[in-house]
Amino acid sequence: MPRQQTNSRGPKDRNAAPKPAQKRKNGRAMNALSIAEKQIPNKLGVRRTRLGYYDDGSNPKRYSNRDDDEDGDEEEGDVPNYKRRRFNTAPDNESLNGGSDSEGHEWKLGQVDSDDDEELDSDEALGDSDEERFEGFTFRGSSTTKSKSKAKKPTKKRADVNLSENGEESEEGESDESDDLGEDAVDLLTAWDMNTAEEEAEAKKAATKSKKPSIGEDSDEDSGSEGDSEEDEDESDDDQLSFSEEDADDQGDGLSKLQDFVDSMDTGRRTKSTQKSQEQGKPSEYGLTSSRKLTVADLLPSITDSRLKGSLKHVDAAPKESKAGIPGKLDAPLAKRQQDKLDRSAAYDKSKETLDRWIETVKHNRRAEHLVFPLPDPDNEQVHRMHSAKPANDLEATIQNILTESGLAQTNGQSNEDEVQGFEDIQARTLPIEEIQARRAELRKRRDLLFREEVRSKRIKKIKSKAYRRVHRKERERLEQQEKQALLEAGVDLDEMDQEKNERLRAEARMGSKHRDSKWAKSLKETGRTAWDEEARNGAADLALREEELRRRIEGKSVSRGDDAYLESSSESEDDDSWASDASDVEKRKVQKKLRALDKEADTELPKGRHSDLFAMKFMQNADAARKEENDAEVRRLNRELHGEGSESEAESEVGRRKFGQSKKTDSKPQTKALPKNELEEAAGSDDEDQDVDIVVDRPVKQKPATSALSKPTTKPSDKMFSQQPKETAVEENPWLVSTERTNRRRTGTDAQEAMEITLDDEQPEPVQTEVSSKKTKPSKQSQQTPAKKASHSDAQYDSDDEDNVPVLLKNHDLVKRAFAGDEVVQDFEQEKLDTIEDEGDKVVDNTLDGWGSWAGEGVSKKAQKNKKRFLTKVEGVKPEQRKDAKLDRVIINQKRVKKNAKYMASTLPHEFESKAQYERSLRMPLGPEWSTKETFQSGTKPRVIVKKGIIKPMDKPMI
Amino acid sequence: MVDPNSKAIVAAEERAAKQRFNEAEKIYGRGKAASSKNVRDKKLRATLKTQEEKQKQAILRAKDAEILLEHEAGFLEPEAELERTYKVRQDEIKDSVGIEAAKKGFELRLNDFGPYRADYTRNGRDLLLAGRKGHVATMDWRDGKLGCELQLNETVRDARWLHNNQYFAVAQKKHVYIYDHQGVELHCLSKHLEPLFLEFLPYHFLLASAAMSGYLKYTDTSTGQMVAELPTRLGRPTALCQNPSNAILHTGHQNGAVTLWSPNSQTNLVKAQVHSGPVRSLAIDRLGRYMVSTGQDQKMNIWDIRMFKEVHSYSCYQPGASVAISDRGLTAVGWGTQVSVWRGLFDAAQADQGKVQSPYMAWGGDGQRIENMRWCPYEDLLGVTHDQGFASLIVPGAGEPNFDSLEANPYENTQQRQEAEVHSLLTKLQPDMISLDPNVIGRLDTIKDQKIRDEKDLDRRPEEEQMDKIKNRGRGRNSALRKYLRKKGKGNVIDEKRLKAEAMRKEHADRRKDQLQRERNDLGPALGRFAKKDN
Repeated sequence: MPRQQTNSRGPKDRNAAPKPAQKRKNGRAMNALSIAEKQIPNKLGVRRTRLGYYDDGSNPKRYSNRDDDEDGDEEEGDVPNYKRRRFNTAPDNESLNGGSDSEGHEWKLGQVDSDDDEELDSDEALGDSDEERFEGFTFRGSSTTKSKSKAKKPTKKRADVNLSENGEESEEGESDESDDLGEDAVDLLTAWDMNTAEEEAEAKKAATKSKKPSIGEDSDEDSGSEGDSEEDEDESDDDQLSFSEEDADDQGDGLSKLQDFVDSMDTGRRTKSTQKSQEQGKPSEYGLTSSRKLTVADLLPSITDSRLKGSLKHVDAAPKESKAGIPGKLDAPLAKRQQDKLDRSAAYDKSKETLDRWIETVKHNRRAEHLVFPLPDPDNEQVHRMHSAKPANDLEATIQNILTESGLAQTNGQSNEDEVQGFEDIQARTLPIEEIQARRAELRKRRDLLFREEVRSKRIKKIKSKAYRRVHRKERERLEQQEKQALLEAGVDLDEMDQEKNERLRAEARMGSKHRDSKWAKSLKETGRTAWDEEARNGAADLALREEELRRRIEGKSVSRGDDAYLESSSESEDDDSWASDASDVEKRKVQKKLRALDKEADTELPKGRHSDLFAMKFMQNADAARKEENDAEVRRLNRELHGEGSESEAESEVGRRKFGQSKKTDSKPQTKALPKNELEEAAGSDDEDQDVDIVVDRPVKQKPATSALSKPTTKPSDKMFSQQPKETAVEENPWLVSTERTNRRRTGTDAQEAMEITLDDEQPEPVQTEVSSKKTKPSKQSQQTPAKKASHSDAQYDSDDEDNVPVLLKNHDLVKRAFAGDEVVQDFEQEKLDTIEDEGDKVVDNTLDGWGSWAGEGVSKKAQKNKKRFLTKVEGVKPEQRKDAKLDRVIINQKRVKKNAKYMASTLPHEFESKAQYERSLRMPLGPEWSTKETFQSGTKPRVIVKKGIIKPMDKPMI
Repeated sequence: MVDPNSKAIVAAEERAAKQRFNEAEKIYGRGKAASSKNVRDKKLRATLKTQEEKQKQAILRAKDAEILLEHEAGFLEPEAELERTYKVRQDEIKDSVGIEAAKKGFELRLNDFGPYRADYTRNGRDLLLAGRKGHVATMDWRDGKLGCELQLNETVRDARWLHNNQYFAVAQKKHVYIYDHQGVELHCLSKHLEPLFLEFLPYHFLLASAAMSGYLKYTDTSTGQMVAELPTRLGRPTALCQNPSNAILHTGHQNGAVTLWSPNSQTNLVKAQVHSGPVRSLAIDRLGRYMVSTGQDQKMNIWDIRMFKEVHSYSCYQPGASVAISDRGLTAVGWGTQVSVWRGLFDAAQADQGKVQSPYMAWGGDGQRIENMRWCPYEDLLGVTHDQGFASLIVPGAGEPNFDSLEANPYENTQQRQEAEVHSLLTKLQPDMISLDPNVIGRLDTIKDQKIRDEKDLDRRPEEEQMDKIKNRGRGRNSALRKYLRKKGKGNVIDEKRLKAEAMRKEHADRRKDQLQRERNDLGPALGRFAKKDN
């Protein structure tokens, strides 16, 4: 309860205060009078609005046409009426508080109407029945203008604290209290007047804050001085003494009254929590303020009493008043829904932001190959300092000793460096000072050299000379090629990685060079986008340039672009003297470069224009030309200035050459002419020209290695092999053997020469394969082979085919042949193969049924039988040419499907995989310990998630 | 350019790393990566990338782990041009090697019951000898300790160790028998009639026999069930061997054909005409790349069984009776009374060079007809059986120098053996997994949908399972016990509860029987027949 009160109070009071001061005074004075007349102890002269729970519109009927702005002294009589009843419903206010708070600032508005509010006397307000009911109660707190702000606040506080107390004290000095209250009001007003500016700014804040029920008392503190004073009073709440003392400070005489007032307020609040917020001239918790008239409809939603609701049903229908505020005041806060929406979105953003911080961690964990729970705490990870372990036993000690002796280990945890340092120190002490100095000098020198080397490398890195780079590139390429060669010779073929890299490069190049026939280029032509799209224009220009370059290359001329050409030559010359150049030179060069760049830009502008109709327009061209003239002139002037020290002619020539470069329309001829001119002009660039030509020659050369690198090493060894081997064999063996070897080699034959031989030899290999089938050729073949073997080793005993030499054996072999001659094994086999081919091949099945679609049985003429339609179905089998053994003459391979094996096969491609190859590749590497090392086995079978013993806490913070 | 030295160093390092990876990939690589360039899904791309990275790591680690292979392999190398390694005799080798190594070369004279056949266990520790005339013996050949010795008094055609040295199977005159290490007969596989050859597939626990009738039969030795009976329809098989890489069985036939079999297909997978005469012997190298066969036509043919092409054909003086290929690719051919060991047959085939000109080692010529040969795993030993016993020959460079104890441990103790047994049983492969391409498992089945539908047996009775539906009420008197037994009693699980229930039921039945008997007695012999049975 107390929380609610304070909530509702703060903002309302603040807003309400300044204006209504006078009127309130009046009102209060009147009230005070009436009260005085009545001598009835009134409750609560204070604005009830401060006590949050007064606002339940418990008696809307009566006050429907009134503003809550009332000081409420008159209504005081009624208050007790509902006090008890409403007490229980107090919690309902919570929700309403917010509304009222938010509209607290409208409070001021209401002051205007406050006059009307005073229609009701306290007499009237307190009906007979009420009087009966509240006989036992003391009604106090009629408002007078006397009371001070400080006095007022205590009342509030009292209300908070004294809730539980009985209203015994309230009887004392009721009349005085009303005065106090009056004073209070005045003071408060002045105080607020001072604070208004401040408060207005805070008002909104407070409003939003007060919405949240939990914030509670904080709203009090929001208003600076007021809050403080309230706090002070808070402390004094409990005992009257302290309270009175404090009051005495402010206002001696009003003390007792105030006390009483406060007490009365307490009782009032205790007995009746609710109703008639509208009576008091302060903002209520319904979202209404004293500034505007309270309608019954406004109060309706807060009514919990079903009886009351029933009676007020008819009010529901009444249209609501528009709550147009007076301009110049604070804006009405947004409707709660909207405000909530904003709040929610803000909260969402905030929470999202906090959650986003986790995304990386979650991703990381999801992608992690293995996860071990509990997760390692990154904070707790201690870096174990490895200190030299002390040898635990003799063996370790000896090992340590050996290690230290051999210099592999460090003694006493000292690093070798340290030792050396220490040693040097000791040495230095013994050495004469000259030597030390000499040493130092030496060291310094070395350092210096190092530094210079560094500087030099930096400078080299900065060199932009193409010629320089070219030379070095060539060197590098040569090196690479050698490497490749070495690799290939070692039998290592180019890696897949390299291939991929090359492919990527190629793709990038293609992307970059915006092929002429590409969709993009075509679209440019069609849409004429170049007219307005800067990017497209640039692209088109680039394309044109490239095209030209390519054309030139095809013609066998210098490849370099117009600008590149002289950039190269000039940079070459620069290069030469760059080693000895001073800073000014460098700067000058820079300027020159810039100028050239400008030129280049000017060059490239033309083609852009050409591509667009817009640029083709005359006035555009004119303007362009004029501007260009200007620019050119400027550039020329600058050039001249720069080359002032140099020959004028050079500058002139540059200009001339630039013109060549610029005129895009000029075909390659002038260009080629221009190049020799360059040579003449620039002595330094003369060799550059050569290199330019070199490039043209080089390109094919460069490509060659790529292809030849692949082919050469493979062919080379083979060449060697083939060239050597025949020689050897020729030396060692007789031609028969050679021929057989050739037949064997035929499979590997790569070069044309071999191919030739193969064609010559074609007849010979036949017997080898059809050895069994063609028996007639057999003896000849064997006779071919045997002498060779005889030649190779003379020992006849183990010679496998020695028949030729030994007639007995030959006879034996003949005998054998004869022995198996009648078997006709081969014929049988061939027949069988034919049968199987037929058996497993396509089959035609006759599905004809007698009597189905035709007559059957006796008496059917033969003609009819013949003409009978047959239902033939073809069952597809394995076609002879598709058989696995189609090319194997001595083999029959069963093509039938082995069903029992099929159950171990995957019937569908498992999830995740996109192709059979991928899936089968994943099965390729065995997991078992029998086929792989222990490490591989363990890493292959390690579960993805490992849960270790212990408490698995959620992560405190993102790990990454 | 600025710092050419450091750049060069970096480049050199990179090159070295690349080269190292390439080397590693050559040995341990598993093919090229599927390009992830066209993958649209970011996540998938990431997974593919990590996968590739892992593979790369695995390859490099495997390469690094080579440091653990402490032994090196080497061959006899001729010093001079005219020196021939095949002229080196066994006693010369024994003289020049250490005593322990020399001890490994020995001969057993078993004149009475030959010719013999031999088999080593997978870790090369134990030797099984089976004489044609019924003599079967196991021994730890290193120690010369005899495990058991049997005289079966029956023709013994072949003998094989099963998964470890505890059991062996013997193809006897009529059936296949399984004995334990003490020689106790454990099983008689009566369905394997008149077996000629035996093969054991260690990863599938399948014992296969080629019968005289031409049938190829598979028995699962872990469950004892017959897995497949395949008719070769080519008469009495002349040779049988397994492809160690894919567990396919190759059988040689009288007409010179070699057929490939898996227990999953009633017809052969491949039929190849390898010889013009009967096939005498077959052997396949460890990687399952090459098959060497000898035939009655005095040929030794080398086939690439990935492409099913003949690579080389060598002639022999006599038909090779037996072929064996060692772990390191040495091929031993026994012909007549002699054994010749060939080296580099497959390398030559791979490199498309000419044939190998001369053998690597030779032995024999002492009038002992070679019957069978086996290479001792992880040893440089060739076990040769002939009609007069057994000879263990030292062939330098034949065996795999480094063993993998997860695979086969020559030095295992009992505990390890038991654990390995359990482990191998747990990781046993199903017979259905055998196929020509062992990588088929897990692959995507690209068969057409139509075929899948065709394959479905549309005539299958859908209510087959529903027929079995448990009835809530049985015939006759119902009790909780009966209901329980009806519902739970059919399963294969025998637990205490069920035993109790069954005992109770039996008790019930007994009681009823007693009651009936009593009633009958009461009623007397004439009226006894009217006693109410169902009570």
